Amino acid sequence: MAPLGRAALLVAFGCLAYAALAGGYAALRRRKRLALSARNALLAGFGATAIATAVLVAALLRHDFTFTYVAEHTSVGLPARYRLSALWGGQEGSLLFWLLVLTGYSSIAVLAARRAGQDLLAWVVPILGTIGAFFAFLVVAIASPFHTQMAPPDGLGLTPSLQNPYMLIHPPMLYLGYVGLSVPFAFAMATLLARRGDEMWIVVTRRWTLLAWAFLGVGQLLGAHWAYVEVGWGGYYAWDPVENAALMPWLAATAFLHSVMIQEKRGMLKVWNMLLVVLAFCLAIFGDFLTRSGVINSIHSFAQGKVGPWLLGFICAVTAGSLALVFARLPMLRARTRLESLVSREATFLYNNLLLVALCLTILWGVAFPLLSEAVRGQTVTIARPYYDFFLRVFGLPLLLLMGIGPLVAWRRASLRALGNAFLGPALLAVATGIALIALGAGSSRPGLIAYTFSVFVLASIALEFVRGTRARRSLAGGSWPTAFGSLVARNRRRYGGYVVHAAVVLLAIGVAGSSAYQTVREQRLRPGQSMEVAGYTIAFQGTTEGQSSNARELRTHLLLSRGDRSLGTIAPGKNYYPAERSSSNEVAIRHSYLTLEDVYVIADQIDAKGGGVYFKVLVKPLVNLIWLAGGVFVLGSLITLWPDAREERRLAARYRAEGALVRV
Amino acid sequence: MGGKRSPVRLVVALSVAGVLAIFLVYTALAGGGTPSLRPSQLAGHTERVSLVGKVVGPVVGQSHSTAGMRFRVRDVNGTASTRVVYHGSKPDLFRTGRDIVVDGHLRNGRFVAVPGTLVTKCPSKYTAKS
Amino acid sequence: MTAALVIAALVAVAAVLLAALPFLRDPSPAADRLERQDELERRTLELAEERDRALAALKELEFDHRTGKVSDEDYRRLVGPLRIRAAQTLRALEPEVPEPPEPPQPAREPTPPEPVPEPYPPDEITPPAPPLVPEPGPRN
Repeated sequence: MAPLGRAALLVAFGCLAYAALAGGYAALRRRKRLALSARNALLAGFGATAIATAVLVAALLRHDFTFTYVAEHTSVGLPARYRLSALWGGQEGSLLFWLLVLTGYSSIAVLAARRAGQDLLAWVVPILGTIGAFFAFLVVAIASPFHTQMAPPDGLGLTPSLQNPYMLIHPPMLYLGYVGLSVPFAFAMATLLARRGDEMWIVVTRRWTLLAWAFLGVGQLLGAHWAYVEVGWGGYYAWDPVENAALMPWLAATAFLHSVMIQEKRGMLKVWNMLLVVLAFCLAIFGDFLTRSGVINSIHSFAQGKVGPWLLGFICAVTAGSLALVFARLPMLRARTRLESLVSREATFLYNNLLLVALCLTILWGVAFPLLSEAVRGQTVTIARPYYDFFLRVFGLPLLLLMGIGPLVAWRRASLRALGNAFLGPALLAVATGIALIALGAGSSRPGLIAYTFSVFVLASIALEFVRGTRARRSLAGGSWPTAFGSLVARNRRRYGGYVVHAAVVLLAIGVAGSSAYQTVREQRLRPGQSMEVAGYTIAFQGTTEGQSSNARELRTHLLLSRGDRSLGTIAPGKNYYPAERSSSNEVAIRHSYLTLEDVYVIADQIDAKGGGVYFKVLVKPLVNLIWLAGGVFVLGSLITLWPDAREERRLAARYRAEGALVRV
Repeated sequence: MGGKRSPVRLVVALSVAGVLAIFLVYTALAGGGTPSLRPSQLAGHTERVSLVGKVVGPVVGQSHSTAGMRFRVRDVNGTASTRVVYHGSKPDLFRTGRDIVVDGHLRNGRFVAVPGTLVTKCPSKYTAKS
Repeated sequence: MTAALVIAALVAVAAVLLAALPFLRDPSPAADRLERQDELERRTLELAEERDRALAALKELEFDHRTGKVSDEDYRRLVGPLRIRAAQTLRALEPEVPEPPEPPQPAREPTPPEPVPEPYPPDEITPPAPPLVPEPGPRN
């Protein structure tokens, strides 16, 4: 079946290349049938890619070890769901998966926006086709998943540390996010190529951007949770280049989400938005490059890349081409209005954008600097945690504060007096909380204290927004408080969904501040019968047991956890030893407190199974569970903003009827 | 951004200047990162560096014992190697033949690692940090 | 193996057919041109977007005023120019109607502006009848 896969990929490449070339010609010469033909080719590209993917998935599920890829990434004993996840677990398969998502998104995008201006769509097709053709070229010629061999008796299997549910969801979520940024990019460039001066591309791609951004955000949180629970070094984010690879496009996309609102409302920042969407897309591809090329000292890297140089070349070409296009169309991108006041909601959006982009670029520098240093001086350096922590505080804390200020400021021009009135309540609450926190001992970390105080300010201003809005709605339309609240949110989904997302970010900030600035760490070697004290908890080591699972030898230490004289149960950290893969894994024990949201996190090292001593590392992390809670709130907020709004659709339809074309988003 | 002199350009320019200023101050104070060296490049460096290489030969001792865990690290693409002694948590993936990164100082011909800085790379697979 | 080749061939044929479909459906079309905005359509769309922007800004101002974010005096200061702007955009989008010739009139005192009507309910989507405001001053 491998030849079928290879053939299908060739067909896909042909379709996408045709979509790119014929589509470009059709858009240039305004040939309607050729443009339609190119669009159909894009759809056919998806079909062919889907068939190729099906071939690979079938081989993975069938243990077809004649496929080199299957033999390298699965084994006979591997459960079916991890055999499926091997699709995105290796270099070639994940490239194919990327192509699948890309062609899938492209098809949906061109079909859903079918009536959004023929001249615009005519350019969207060749752009998406070019991106697709590039990735198809990679899977056809550079990193094909369809190499065959003599079937060995068994495959190499999947690293035990990857055999967990996170492997099933974290990579696909990230890919759905990364690839999703291609759509707004394509529509933006198409707008420039079609010489359209309107905002249709923003209207059409708004939900795409939101969706991609939400997937990227959730994917990252899942990755953090995976690191925390499964990998078990005690943290959830290590500023590893591959982690940053997902953070950077997410930050750029966040900035973009905000600044397009300004363009929609005021017709400003057109050039800025074009540059941002190019940045977000290029960072997404760059992130892919970082993960695949093995160029950076990262433990996430795939094999030394054959793919790396191609991706880098693609990024350079895309960046150069897009910038040239934006520059060429600069006269068309003149704003209709200007910023009236530096104290206005537009201005706060601008400041927020600047901070987000600054943070994004500092992270980018931290990632790229080792590469540049090697290329220029011949010596590699590593940029470590303190660098990132510093800039996260310098840019992140003001961003946090802005989230609370923004909603309180009016559009166009806000009088300072009105602003002062609006701020007073939340500011007083925040200061009071700050003082209370100092009294409780939170003064030990100044950034942590600042983060907490700012967070209270933001939460208070968000709550105030909801209260004021519900009250106004109730005075307008009557009804009970809950109904007024419901209809308030339903009628202003973007605004209030946005507030919910802001609340999620604040919860995240509190969780991060608590679990990093205020955590306690203690390491000690204990023999059975001994105990240790950490942050008010007593941990008593009772003994070690040994068990056996289907593929591992499991060593567990048993610890009795108590606080004061109240017993909190037992936890059992330990290690698993996998004879087939000749490796071991850390099995940490975490005890969640549902009241205080803190975790007691225990790592057991160098376990002497014959009743000897064990090294325990105990971390007490306050408020860490807020981070995961924030994820749930984030999803809720995103859903609210994404939810279709019939009234908005009617309004947009009326607008574009003026042009003789309807928009269906 | 069109019209009369818009404050947006000014704000953007000032912000860029501000960010660069903060950045330069930080780099001047905190330095430009830790040098990342292969065993063949170690000679003569007395400051804290990151050693990158492949674990070769037998691994002797326990990382939590007083004597520490001892092993040799070789250039990934070369033959030069150095002895390393490490104390602290041993990552799961650590094994002879794996690529590692560890911080430390070169002392008397031996690389004395900073506890807890040992990171093992798993080739050609997605892995998470240990 | 042959099954694979057959399927592969089918896939290729299907792809080519799909790409050729527009040509097969309509071998000799009357017009094969992609629609593009002409100047009028472009201008209309621009105006429609401006109209929507002006109306949305009015609606948000209403909402902000109602929720107490904008004080009464700030509201009075801001709402006038916004209403004028909205009226301008609405007027610009109306189809051209030839003006009836004006009978000669003696110069008269400028009429005081009509009192500004009550703001339309903020949740209305349909644009209101153009409010009675004096002739627009110099363009914003």
